[in-house]
Amino acid sequence: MVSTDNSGRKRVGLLVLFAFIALIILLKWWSDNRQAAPWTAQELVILESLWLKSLPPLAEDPSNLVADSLQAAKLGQQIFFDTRFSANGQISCASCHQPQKYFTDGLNKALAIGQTARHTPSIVGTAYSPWLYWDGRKDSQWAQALSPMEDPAEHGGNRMLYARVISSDESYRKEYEDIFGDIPDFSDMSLFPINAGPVSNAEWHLAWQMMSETSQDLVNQVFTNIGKLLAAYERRLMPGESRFDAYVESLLRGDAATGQSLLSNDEINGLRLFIGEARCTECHNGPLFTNNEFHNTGLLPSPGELPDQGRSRVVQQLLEDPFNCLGPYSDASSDRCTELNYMRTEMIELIGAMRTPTLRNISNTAPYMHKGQIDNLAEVLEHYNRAELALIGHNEAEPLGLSSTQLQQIELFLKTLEAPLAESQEWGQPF
Amino acid sequence: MKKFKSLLSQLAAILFLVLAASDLAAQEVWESISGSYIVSYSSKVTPIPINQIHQWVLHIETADGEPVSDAKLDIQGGMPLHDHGLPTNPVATEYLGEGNYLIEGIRFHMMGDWEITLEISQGNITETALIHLRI
Repeated sequence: MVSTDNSGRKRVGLLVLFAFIALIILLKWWSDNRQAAPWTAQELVILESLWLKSLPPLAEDPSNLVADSLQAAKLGQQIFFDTRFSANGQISCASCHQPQKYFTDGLNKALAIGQTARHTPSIVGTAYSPWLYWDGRKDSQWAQALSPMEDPAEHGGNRMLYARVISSDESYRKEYEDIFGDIPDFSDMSLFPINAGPVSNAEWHLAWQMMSETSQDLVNQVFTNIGKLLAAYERRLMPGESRFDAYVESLLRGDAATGQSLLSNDEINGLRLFIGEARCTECHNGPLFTNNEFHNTGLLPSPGELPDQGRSRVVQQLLEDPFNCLGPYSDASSDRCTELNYMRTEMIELIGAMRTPTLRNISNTAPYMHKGQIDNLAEVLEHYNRAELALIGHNEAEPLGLSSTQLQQIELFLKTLEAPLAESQEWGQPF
Repeated sequence: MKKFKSLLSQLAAILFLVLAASDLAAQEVWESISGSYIVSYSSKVTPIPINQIHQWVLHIETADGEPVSDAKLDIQGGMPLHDHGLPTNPVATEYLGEGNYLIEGIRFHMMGDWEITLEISQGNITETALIHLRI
């Protein structure tokens, strides 16, 4: 009798245990799959602010008179893909900004003639940014485009070489003169050597110093115009509408049923975290999911490297740059250079701060961060969830305390921002 | 019961703080710290956008309603909850008359509660006014 009692009790105990486990599984299933709660009016305002159709029309670039010329954009597109604009004839802008990779290269740090110091960022949507590069050391797309051309690790050439590519190619010359007027005559080698520019190559640098200021200025004008043509092209690279945008559109139409069919519960939960508890929209805000400002988020340097000083190191350089908005090669009157005129110059939070990147197509542009030091989105989200102390400066992020399920949901949401470029057929390939 | 009461008082305190904060942001005029000036602002772009540099007109008058015409202004600001400043360095570039000053180069890069610290100087005397706003 006693033994039967015992086995009966054991059976009941087991049943209770199974029921308990089943309840936990059921609760987990329910919490993961229940219909997402409707959005509040305040949340809808935030969702609308992230919607691609909320992107205001692109303001004109007063520093570049040809910025909105279609002819300039088409010529810029040709130059973008032309490897003659490099020291070895093998590198073009598209070597690192590859259209099929959303104008990135998939590498930690870019590989051109050499290896660069930082990770290749996408160009898409950067026409909206007052600052270019991870540290924002250029204030226009055209000024940015000039820099890699003379960087020994990138295109590795010099401005004299590039000015002559334009003047000696019949087709380029004709197109250029249609847009800018006569190109200077560079045929006199005593005035215009084969290679010259203020670059690290000592021979080319010396040749540049030997040139008269008038000759230097003529070369600078053509070099600047190459940048302005490239900018006219890059300005047209804009993101296309993603599943997320279709979802927001259906919500704003009041069509929740269609919305529910566009995003899964996990993706919706991820979006809710993205605009709420995870605090992502503090920096990744607006329709391009970036405020284009500079933030220190406590990133570790690549192994064996010192921490990157970021924005704090380049502010003075930017003010002195002859290719900035206030300089002699800009088309803007000084009062139109508002961002540069009112730029913040001294701020502790600029130490180690880098520009917020767009999140549109972020799942297609691994690896991540300014050194490409994080391989995948899951690790990026872990990084923000931990928010450890910064090695230099102050980490603006704070620990989030999110669960691994919540982090996965945010990652799933980020994938809803995948979309082909707007007008990709026309602009996303070699001319 | 004791626990419930303390929870209730904590909730009341939080509610009070939230209401106080939202009241500050909803206010339209601000008194300087020693009460000498009354300050108000209007943005040339409304509603105030994020990530777009724009201009404000600041209006300054004395406590008895006289427009202040000869003030020197220093403009700082930031998000107290985030411990960071404004992304730009706004400047009063022109006196427009009637106590109105043109402020150029203002930009906000996050949604949330912002605070503008305005130092108003006349001669050797400087007074601070705080403007609270929610973007």
